Amino acid sequence: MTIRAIVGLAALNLFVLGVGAGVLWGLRGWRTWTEFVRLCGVAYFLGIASLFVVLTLELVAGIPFGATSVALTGVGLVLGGLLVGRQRGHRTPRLSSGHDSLRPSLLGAVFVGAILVYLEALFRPGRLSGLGWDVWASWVPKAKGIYFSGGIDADLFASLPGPSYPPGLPALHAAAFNAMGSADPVTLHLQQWFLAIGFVAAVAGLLAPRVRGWILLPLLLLILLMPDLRNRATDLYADIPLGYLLSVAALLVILWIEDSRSWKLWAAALLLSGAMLTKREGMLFAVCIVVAALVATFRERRTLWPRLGAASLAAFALVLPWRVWFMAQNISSDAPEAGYLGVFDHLDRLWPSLELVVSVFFDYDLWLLVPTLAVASVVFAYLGGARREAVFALTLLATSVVGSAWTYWSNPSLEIGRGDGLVNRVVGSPLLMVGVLLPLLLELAWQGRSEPRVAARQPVRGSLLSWRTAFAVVIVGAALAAYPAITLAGGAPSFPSFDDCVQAPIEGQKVRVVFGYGATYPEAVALRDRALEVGFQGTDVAQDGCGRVRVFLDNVPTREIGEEIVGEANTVDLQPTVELDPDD
Amino acid sequence: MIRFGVVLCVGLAVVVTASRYFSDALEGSDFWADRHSALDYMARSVPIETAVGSTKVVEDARLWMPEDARYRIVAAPDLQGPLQWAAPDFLAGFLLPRRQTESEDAPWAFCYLCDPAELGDRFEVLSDGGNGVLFGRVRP
Repeated sequence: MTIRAIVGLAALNLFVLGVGAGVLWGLRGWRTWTEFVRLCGVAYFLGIASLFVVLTLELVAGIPFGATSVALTGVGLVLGGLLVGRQRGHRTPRLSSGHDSLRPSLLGAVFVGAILVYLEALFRPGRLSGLGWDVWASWVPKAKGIYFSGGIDADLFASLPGPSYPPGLPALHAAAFNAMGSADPVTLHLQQWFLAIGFVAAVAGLLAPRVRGWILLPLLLLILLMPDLRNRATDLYADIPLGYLLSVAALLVILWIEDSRSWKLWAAALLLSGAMLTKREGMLFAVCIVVAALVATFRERRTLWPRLGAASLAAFALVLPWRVWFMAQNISSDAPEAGYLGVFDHLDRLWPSLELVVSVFFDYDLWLLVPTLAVASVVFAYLGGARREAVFALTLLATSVVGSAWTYWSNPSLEIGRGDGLVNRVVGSPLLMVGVLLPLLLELAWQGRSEPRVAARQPVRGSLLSWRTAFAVVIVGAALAAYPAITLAGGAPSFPSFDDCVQAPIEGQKVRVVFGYGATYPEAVALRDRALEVGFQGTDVAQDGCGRVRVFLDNVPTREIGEEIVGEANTVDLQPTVELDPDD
Repeated sequence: MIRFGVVLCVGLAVVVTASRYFSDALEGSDFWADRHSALDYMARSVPIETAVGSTKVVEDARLWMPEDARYRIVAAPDLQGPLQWAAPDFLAGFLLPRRQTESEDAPWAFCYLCDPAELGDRFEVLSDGGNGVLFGRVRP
């Protein structure tokens, strides 16, 4: 809850970006630094996913977890990426080629400004948020367990809800505790904010060369504004990170289907491993993405299926160490309660489960028009001749909806209803997946059969310093500065401190003489005993409501009497102060 | 025709975002930011009463136990609801690195509507929630 914690978290996320940049260099490299800036979001998620994979492997292998091991892991990944990049002949990037700069537009600048303001606004509620139910009960204990013990305590994991849930996110959270300097689950909410920035950057960066701005930016903003997404954007559940990883992976797969560039497939495979190490639904939705890709590439099955199969197997192989570990530890399985075939004993749940998921999927109040537009975009893209992409999106939508329904069908203890909001969390990932495909599908529909499938936006010819660029920069800059300026004008941000529980005395009201504060009761009791010893009878200890223990003498009628007591205490080497006694 | 559909889709997205939802998002963020900012330490950093029985008792427990402490939970046999199924997980998350154990040798204990006599004569109550939730230590 301090600036130091926020700075530590920012440093951790820069580190993640650096790790992902190393991995991206190994996978594809970049010709210019402007190209790298465009792909920063993808690099960030590659960093997240590769850290999930390697840190999980280290935890399973019993390698002590800590700031040093995380840093060395990151360095190792970067070095690995550099070596692979060198072997593959990636050349040192230039600053800019002039061909990878996109033509700025004023309308685009307005939407970019709006997206930036939205992200700025998301920071504030996350910073001082309380913790949700499963966050207290499952996610925070796991992260704290790793942070404090430097490993996975099998007994602790086994005792918590979702014992076989993978440790990718708790490991990241434990690394965040290290970076923040303490196990501060409140500030940890801002980790989700960094993930949100990474998600926006990844989607925009992947689609910018393919989708024209007037299609991409309004739809990206619409996705961000989905009420259920923004309500949960900074909570500490794993659903949103899972949705981000899956949706960027789905986007990479559809782009691979378009151009068969292998780095996209392997990057997607790594992100799918990350998703499978985030939550058990990661496995389910990863299968949906693979199935959708298989169906969409049926005609090219001889050339593409072996590559898809290899990438899928590699993605699964990276998750195996965790699965082997939890089975070896006899930790209860993450399989559905009814078992894989036992679901047929619960056929009565099939239709209600599907009905629930479909009704939530198309609920305007939760997701606005995104699912409806996704269906429409599939139809338009198909009619426009982008059949493989449309089939991929439609199959992904259908399988992930059926998959979401299966989670209800196969877990009889889950009440089929919207009551606890669980269904929103399950459906959120499929929605994000099909949501990010929406701009590409509409672009393909726009291009239709008549236009060759080329970059939708033409590179800038000539100088970037046109009036249009200048206006666009001003608009984005103004949007970026306006929100903090307006917010700060309403008052400086508050940082909780111990002083919140110290009230200055008020003339004519009762006061208490406070001998000091202890970080623990034993410390405070020692101070109280000293006060009692020298004659301050009635001195007591109690929690102060801000995380410390107060040593005090209360019910002092006036400030003057309080100050007399302070004077007496000073003569015996005690240094009390006078505070208001609110009589609570 | 298809291009008209594309324009319609994008147009609808613009109308929906511009009409209400963008400003709603900003207002919503401001609302939650103010609300979270107004939370006090206990509301923000200590698990809720429904899950742990008494925020005062669990905060007292955190302030009493050293970080290498082991504690156990003794519950009434007929304890029902969140105190029965959620309290152990919430306490684990809140009190780490202090370790929860089932061992009767644990020097610290929570009592959830239990009979304190079960904890023996050496059990000293250090915090009482007034609702059957107690925390204390077992003197050596």
